[in-house]
Amino acid sequence: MNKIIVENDVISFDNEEVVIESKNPFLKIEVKNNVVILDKSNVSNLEITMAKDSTLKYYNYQAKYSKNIVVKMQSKANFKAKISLLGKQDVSWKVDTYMLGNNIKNEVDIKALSKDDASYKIEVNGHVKKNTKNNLMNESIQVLNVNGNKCEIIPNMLVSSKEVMANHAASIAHINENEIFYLQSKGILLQDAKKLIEEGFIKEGFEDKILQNI
Amino acid sequence: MLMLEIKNLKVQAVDNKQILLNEFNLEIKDDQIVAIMGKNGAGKSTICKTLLGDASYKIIEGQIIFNNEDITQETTDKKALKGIYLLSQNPLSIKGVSLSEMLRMAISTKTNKAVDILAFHKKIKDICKKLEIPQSFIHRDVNYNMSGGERKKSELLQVWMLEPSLVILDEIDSGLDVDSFKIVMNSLLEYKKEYKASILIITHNTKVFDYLKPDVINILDNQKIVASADDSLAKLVDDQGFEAFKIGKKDLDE
Repeated sequence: MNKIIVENDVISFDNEEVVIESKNPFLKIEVKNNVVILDKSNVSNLEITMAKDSTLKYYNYQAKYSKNIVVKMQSKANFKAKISLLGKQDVSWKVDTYMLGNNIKNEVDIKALSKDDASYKIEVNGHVKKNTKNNLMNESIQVLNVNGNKCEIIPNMLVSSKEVMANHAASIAHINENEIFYLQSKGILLQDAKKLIEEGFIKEGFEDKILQNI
Repeated sequence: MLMLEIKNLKVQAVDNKQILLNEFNLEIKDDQIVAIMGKNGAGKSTICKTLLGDASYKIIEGQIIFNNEDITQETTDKKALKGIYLLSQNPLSIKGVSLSEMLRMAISTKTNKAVDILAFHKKIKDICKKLEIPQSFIHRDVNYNMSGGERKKSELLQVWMLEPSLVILDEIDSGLDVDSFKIVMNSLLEYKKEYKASILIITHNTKVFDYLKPDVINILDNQKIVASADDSLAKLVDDQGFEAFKIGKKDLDE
């Protein structure tokens, strides 16, 4: 993947796999054809516009800071976001997706690990425009709450269309005691077992080629 | 020499306070195969989990002695590090944790040094060949998206890597097709021979004994062992079922 340090407020990608870094508070990205983005920026307001027939795989791994993302999708766009959060304090993430045409696939998967002083507010709003059809929307938000701090999940599906396939799943859970027992029964010490589970939770589903760029 | 001795164990379920085992006694010698049989719900899996220190079960009386050491109140990790391995009926899956990561962590804890990656992969390669699974298997998440047979092979691979002296098999045949069952059984026999390990078989049917011939078979009923004999007991179970061993229904000396 090519590493790009973004200095402008607007950038376009066309058939590219990129790692982006930026110190700007705002960034607008235009996507054409097939694009893979690993976001390592500190951008707090990100707006993504996806052209007709475009595909975007958006990754953000172990994000530490708050962010608002707005994604606007035209017909036949395919958006897949895989995000993991590892905050150090209060972290707020808001993702608004707008399905503006037909035959759109929209998948948002967010996992957050709440440990040390972290706490989260995660809001995902899927907007489906009126008179659109054959659209698919999946939202999944999971928080592994190790520290017992306050964590809030708000999954919204704001559907104006009469025809859409929409699913959402949201959970806030502690570490599964059965998983701890299983790992300890292999001779793994309690603290190491917890560490393995936490690390596994946060990296699960990230492809190797993404992890290699981190 | 005596490897495991369970003396007068009384075990309670933590959630509903129900007594699950009472006056439970068991002995396993070095290099011995011992079986515990009992009908469904008799408490067979309770024995496995209690031995490994599952927090859902509380030992309120009795002792567990392993290689002359009292491990009754030891934590699960310490018991495993002493050489006890549980191959459970439905091995748990953990998303995001690969088999390789887990094994490397377990081996480095056991040996108290960094894992020799080359030796690790060479051994994995040999075991995968024996178990007829691809070497890429170890990069998969622990038991995740695996069939019943793959899960049992994954657990058996771990046995070979972690080299326990006592392997507990909880309903080992469940979820295995004929071919996988044969592979798993032959591999366990080979492991026992190579490491002089002891095996505790927990089962409700006698199919396993076609491969792993027990030196002693125990029948569990009403929270305790009610009959104990050599492998001739298996025939009695096959002929008459577990009802024959109900206390008061049959003269157990017979």
